[in-house]
Amino acid sequence: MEQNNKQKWSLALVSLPVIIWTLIPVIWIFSLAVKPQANQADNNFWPRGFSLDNFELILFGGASDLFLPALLNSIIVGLIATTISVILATFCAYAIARLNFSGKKMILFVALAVSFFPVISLVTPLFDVWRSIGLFDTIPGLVIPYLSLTLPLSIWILSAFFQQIPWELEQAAQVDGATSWQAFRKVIVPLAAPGVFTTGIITFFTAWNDFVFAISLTSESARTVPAALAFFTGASQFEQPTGAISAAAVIVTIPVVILVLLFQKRIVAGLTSGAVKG
Amino acid sequence: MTDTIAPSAAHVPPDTTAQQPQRRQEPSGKKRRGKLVPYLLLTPAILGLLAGLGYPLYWQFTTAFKEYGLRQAFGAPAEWVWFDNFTKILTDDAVWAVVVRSLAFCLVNALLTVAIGLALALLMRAVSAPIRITIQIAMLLAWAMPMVASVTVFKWLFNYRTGLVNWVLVKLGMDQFENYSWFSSPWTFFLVATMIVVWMSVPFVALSLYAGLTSVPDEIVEAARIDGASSTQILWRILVPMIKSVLSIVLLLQIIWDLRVFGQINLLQQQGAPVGSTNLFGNFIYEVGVGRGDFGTAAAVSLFVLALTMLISWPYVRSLMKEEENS
Repeated sequence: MEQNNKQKWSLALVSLPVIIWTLIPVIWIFSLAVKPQANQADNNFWPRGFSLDNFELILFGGASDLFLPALLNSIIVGLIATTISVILATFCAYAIARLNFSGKKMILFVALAVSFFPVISLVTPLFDVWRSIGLFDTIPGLVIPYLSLTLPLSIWILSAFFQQIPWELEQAAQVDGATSWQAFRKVIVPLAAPGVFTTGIITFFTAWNDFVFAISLTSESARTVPAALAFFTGASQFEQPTGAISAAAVIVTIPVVILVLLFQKRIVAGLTSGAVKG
Repeated sequence: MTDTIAPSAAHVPPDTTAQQPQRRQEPSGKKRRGKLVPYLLLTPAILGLLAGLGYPLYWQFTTAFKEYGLRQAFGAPAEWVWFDNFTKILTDDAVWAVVVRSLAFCLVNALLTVAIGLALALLMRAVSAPIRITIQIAMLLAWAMPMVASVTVFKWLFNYRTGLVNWVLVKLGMDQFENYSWFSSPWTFFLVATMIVVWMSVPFVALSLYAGLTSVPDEIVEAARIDGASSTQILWRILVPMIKSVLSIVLLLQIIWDLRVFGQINLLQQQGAPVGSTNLFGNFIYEVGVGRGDFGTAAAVSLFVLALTMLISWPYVRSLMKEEENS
């Protein structure tokens, strides 16, 4: 793996446009978020002047009663949907990967077929039924549709992952005198954790980022951030709410980045099912 | 480095075969318990899915065969018209235009995303640690940006009057881009839409594939190189086959996500795009159903999309299922 200097430099040169292309929109959002209100429309890429007015506006000011409840809703909905989805998918994937029963293929097939159904087609009937049974504009009213978006994919990913786990280690541990619970907890759980974390992150992100259900199945009390962004207005009707939207985007990006960085090692392992062998 | 070549190269093949005999032994021990347990484990997930999907699917399946317009939505009895909605959409050129457009958009975006993602994963594998970490964090930020916000940024970037893109192009001497409107023609509209979708999806693919590549032992690549394999051979004969499972899952996810693209197109259309010639599946169903109030036709289109996508993806799905069986 010796690289000569020339090769190193050419690789760095290739990386530069990649980084720029990836970051331009991100930097622009950060820049808009810290631009003072007066410079908001000046089209400068780098902000001239720095202010936290936009953050103040959405965290403490006029837009806070729109943003803060939405942020709380986003967190609650994301966490509940993720927890339930991961647990249910783990059970299901374990059965598919490890146990023998008929209809295994059928389940994988149906899970996939369901994923192909246009999301928007679920909205109208759900809207009707949620209104009539009182789930409209509630937390469960969002969690349930997110489960139906994420469960099928989680089942697919997890059952593929579980099939790669060297389950014979469990028996080896039992031979060495561990009880079956100990063998499961001490041997299998650490091996399965990466895959579970990966599906968890994907699930959380789906719920966190969803716009379609959020905008159609909520009005005020369960509205999440992506939907709330659409309701932001400028300080006066002639002002664009770009600064406030950008500041909100920055705030909701940070938790996801932190979550990923926190579980980075496990996620990487989860995506590389091969890594658990060895 | 070099002294580990022999053990780990010898280590890999037995690993994949070790599971075979293991699988065959195992059911005998747990035969009795195994009858009911799988179904108990499946039930919660199935119930969870049914809660969200049961009624909508039932509603779409029945509504597709009814005359269901605004009058019916407000309580008038909906009459069964059986296949009328289907004959109507199948003879409608606009529907076929949407079908072709959506499938083309999905395929182009999914393949482009996976190709760029793979290229970036290989790049990350090759560069030194500081550059790699910079790329990773950049991609993480791009991935975590809420969709609504990133689309908004792209709308500003491509704004005909104040957008950065037109400004740069004019500065570069291409005067025809002075006040050029990217959203008014379908081709440039989808060019921008593709950029957005690819920009948003590449990070996940690149990070997943890079994670996959890290599990390929350096020694194998090194051994191949010593045996005289070229870089392209190493890529196609060693790296790609070894990350095949990650690659196929990522491609599958990407196809599903790109088929379901709705918000991005919807938000871009608000920039004054011709809606009729820029609709994808989701947007078309939304326009016919929620927009025009013709829920019967919208339901028929939904089912048609479902049938069509299942049919087209069938070979791929079957090969994936075979993989699941074999592993």
